[in-house]
Amino acid sequence: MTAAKINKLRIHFLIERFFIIAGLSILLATLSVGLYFNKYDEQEMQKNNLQKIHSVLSQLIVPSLMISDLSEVRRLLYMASGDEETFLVVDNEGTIIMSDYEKSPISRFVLDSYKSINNCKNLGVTYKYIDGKKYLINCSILYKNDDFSGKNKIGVLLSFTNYKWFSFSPSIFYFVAILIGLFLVLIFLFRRMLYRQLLKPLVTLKDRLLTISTTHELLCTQIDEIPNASCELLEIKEAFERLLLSLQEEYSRRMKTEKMKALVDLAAGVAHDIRSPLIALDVIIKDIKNISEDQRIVIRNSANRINDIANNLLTQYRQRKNAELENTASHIKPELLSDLLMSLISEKRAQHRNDAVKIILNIEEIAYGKFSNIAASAFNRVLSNLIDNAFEAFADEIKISLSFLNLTGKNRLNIQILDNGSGIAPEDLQKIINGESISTKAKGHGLGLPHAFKAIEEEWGGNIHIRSSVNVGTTIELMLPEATTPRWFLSKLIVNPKESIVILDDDESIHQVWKKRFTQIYADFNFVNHYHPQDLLCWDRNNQSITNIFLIDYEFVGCQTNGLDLIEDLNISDRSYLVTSRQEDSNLRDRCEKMGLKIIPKTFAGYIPIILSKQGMTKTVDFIFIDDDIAITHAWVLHGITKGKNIASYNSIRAFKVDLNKYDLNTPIYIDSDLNDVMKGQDFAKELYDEGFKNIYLSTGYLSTDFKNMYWIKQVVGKEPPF
Amino acid sequence: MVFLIANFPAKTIGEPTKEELRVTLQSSVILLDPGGVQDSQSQFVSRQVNCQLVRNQGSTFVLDAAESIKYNTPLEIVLKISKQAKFHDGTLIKAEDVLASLNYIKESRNIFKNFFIWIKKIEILDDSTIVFYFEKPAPQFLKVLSAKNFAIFKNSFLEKVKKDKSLWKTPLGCGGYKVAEFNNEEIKLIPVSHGLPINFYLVKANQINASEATKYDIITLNVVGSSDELNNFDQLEMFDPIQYFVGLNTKSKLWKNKYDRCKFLSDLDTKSLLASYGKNAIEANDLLPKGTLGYNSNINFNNQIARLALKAINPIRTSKQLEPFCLAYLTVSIQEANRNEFINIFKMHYPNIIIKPMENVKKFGKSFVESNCDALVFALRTTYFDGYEFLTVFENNDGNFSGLENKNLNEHILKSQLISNPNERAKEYQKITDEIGELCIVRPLLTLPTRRIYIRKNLKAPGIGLISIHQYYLGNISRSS
Repeated sequence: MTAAKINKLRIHFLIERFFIIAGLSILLATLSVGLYFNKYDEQEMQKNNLQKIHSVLSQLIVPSLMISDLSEVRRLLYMASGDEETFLVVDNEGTIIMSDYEKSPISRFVLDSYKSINNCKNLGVTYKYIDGKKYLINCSILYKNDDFSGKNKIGVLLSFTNYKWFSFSPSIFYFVAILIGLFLVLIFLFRRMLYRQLLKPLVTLKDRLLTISTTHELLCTQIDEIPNASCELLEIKEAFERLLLSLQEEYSRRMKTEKMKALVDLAAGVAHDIRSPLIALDVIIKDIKNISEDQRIVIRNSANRINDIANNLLTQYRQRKNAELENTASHIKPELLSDLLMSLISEKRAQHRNDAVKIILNIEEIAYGKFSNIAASAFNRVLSNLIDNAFEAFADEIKISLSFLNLTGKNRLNIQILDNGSGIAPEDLQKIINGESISTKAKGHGLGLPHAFKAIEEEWGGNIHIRSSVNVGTTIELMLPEATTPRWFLSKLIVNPKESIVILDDDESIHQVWKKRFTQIYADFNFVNHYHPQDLLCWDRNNQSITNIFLIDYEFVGCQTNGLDLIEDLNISDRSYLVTSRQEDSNLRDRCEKMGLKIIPKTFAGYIPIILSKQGMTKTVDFIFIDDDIAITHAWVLHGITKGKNIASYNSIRAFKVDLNKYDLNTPIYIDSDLNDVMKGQDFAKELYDEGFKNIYLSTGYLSTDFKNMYWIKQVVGKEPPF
Repeated sequence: MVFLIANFPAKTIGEPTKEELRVTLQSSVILLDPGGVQDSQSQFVSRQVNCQLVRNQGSTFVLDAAESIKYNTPLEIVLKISKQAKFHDGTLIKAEDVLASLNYIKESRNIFKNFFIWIKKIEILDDSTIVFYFEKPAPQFLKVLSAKNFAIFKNSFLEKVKKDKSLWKTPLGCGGYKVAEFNNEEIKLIPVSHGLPINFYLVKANQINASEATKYDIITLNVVGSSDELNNFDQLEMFDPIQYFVGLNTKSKLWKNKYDRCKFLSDLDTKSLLASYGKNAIEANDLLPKGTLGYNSNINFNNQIARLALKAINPIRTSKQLEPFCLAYLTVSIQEANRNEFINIFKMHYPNIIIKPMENVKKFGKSFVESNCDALVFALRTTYFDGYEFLTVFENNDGNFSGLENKNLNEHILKSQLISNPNERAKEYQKITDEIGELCIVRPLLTLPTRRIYIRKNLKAPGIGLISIHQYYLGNISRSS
């Protein structure tokens, strides 16, 4: 039993306590009521007795008082009086006759209060305090025996009885005793009934449930019969049995799910492991020149096939993850389209493995790192429908391509699905565009398109174009707006030739990929290759230099430490990039964003643009100022001359782009918001930020509140020179 | 039993010790001889010194020297003397001592004869057993026997005291105290076995100032003024009636004519006298004071006299008024402060008044008659609330102040004591008072129904309110701090 449980009282203690308190309360209440009535009864009895005594004593006293036989009067008063009662007579002249004059407070009270016999009527039976003591005072008038006309009053008889705070009345005592006894018997019977009918079955039920819970007998879904159980307890018992049955079913289902999860995780692990050498293979295949084209195609197809298998495994893994995160899966968010397309195509290839249809995927290099705001599951469904339509149109070859376009200043991602199937008749095409159903499985091109239109145009801000010729084929173009690159994603890798490239990955193939990619740009890069975190830790102790960039994997075989932990421990997040296939893990992304770290998806290693930094060969200026107003740029330059500052000024984005690579990335850039150019200043600033420029200021007349949530803008300032 | 009121001069007294009980006494001639007419002050002191067979504890009788009292028949009472009862010399009380004491009272006193007219014979069975035989049933026997006069003295002492009256200053009694010192200013008593020593102070003025209260523990006198010291006292307002009378000497040449007496008595104006006694005093309407058996609130004794006065032939002549008028008064009864008020009553009729104080109370009636004085002012107090106590002075004895020897009245009074039924006896008393009224020899002046007593609060005095202070045994008192 836990400490918390020990502190809680058991129910039978609570009930016992209740009965004790209830019993005591009833006892006290009954006693109080009894005492009240006892007091009332006693007082009434006392008054009645006093009146009787007065009546008798008056009859005895009057004859003696009439003949002034005071010794007899005093004798009678003495006999009637006692420790608790004092009797006295006041005659018509106000003389007090009492047996013991030592009780002077009483005689003084009488002297003050009984100036005349008439006072007796006013007083009657009453309570008074005399010299701090409370008395019951009774007064009766003494008449001559032979005349009760009221004219022959000869005095008054007064009695002073000590007030008793408590006096005992046997009748009330018996009444209270019987009442208490009755209450106690009723309480006892009620307690016994409660114990037998409720508490005992409840404890039995509790014991049975405890036994089941402690022995983990989940297979047991039946609770033994509970004797004397009430209807409600039986309902509780049945509810528990249903719950146990549900638990057993859930347990079985979870066992199956866990097994499946273990298999899927294993498959995902295999897929991840396969994909790294595949990337290397893919990179190398491009440069193989000394084998025939046929052989190259076989190798490429084989590599593609292996890639498809890996992607399918990963797709299953993603589907499971999406199922776990079903709420977030349907949300529209920036998605790496190249990644989604590769997985989908692999899935389609696996789906139509037995069909003699070629599915070719081409991704433009510049489009590899582009994102679009879409719902991934809906995108997959739309694309899947479109590809399936191509299959149903009996196409021999389906070409899917992803390209990046800049159309009138707006960046678009173009997905083109081209098949050589039966095509769509113009009338049907119009119906399809209008959202009418013409679906026939025999002819293909049916239900998927209206849904695709709705999602692309209404939800994602894109559009779709269909061109089709009967018996020639169909071309479907999806134009999706490019989304802002997420902060965790690295779209291009800018390196300085003087920097050493430190690579940590337990897969040799990745080392080879990076080596090939970097040497293609600059042959004299210095590479430092590590395969285990421990190796990097040892190396870093002796080679701490800011001129290193680190490309670090996330997971390492047989090692608890992951790449993020390592980057944190070495405090190299400003110079590191996480290279991983786990980029879809939202927790990982969040952590990277908090650390200011960017992720390079492993599949993107072969495609990420690597740009040589011009640092060292760049133009050195103090400020860069971009504004379409020549007068202002001129003013900045002149002010710079007076202040000894070197200002580079530009009046258009195009002009600055010419010199973009000449400037050091740390150079402060001041950009006007409204440039009257192809894009707004803040949008261009985002591009510059992605290029690696970090000190970007928005020099504008607008309020800073108009530019919220622009992390790439360091500060919103006015148009005055900052120096 | 009636006793006279005392009045004696006070003297300056020092601060008494806390061990003794300091009690005031009215200025008086203290007489410890029960054979004489003792005033209340004398009886107060005697009560401490003497013992009796039985005592009246207010409303009940308690045994004192007696061990048991048994009524064999209504006419035969067997009385056994306690083995614990001893005289001050340590000797046991014997039946012969009791008998000697009763005989001494019988021989010495010529008033209160009722006790002895009831008794037919007294027989001594042994040293501790006495049997009383009665002529008729006498329900009042124990009541009278409990009166303070029936004290017990040693037979040998009574023999000696017949020869030497001065021995009465240190009587050989059987009470809780014996006299240690006896003079005109104070009487000191010491306890025989237990109790606080008592010092009685005779206060001449018969009243004390409140500031003087610190000198006393029990004050039986009027207290004048106010003082914080009185806060240390409990005050007991006890019913203890005293009635003042004026009696006429029929031997005087002024009162040869009955109706002249009636006229004189009815013309006395008592208003200023009543006023001088304050609101506590009430006008006496009957010869018997209120609170005694036989008193009748519905009659007016003075009206009866006034009715007779109408028959007076000669109104009081002016020439007579110039004659000297002898006014006697009992010093034990009249306080100095009130004396002039009494005198003024008579001055209205006889300006030439000769005052004659009378200190000898034993034969005050006979002495007054022999003095040829014209009027006597005296007061009587009851002890057992019976009218007889007031009528006995009209019997043919030394207490009779009128000079009339009326045999019928004498027999009438004596016979009344043979009436057992109190109601009948009360009626008889009223008849007697009517007879006395017809004689015009006395007129009641005023009644003081209650007496106030001051008792120091640190004293424990059990039962002090039950009886008159003069009947209270001070040996019961203890001091708490």
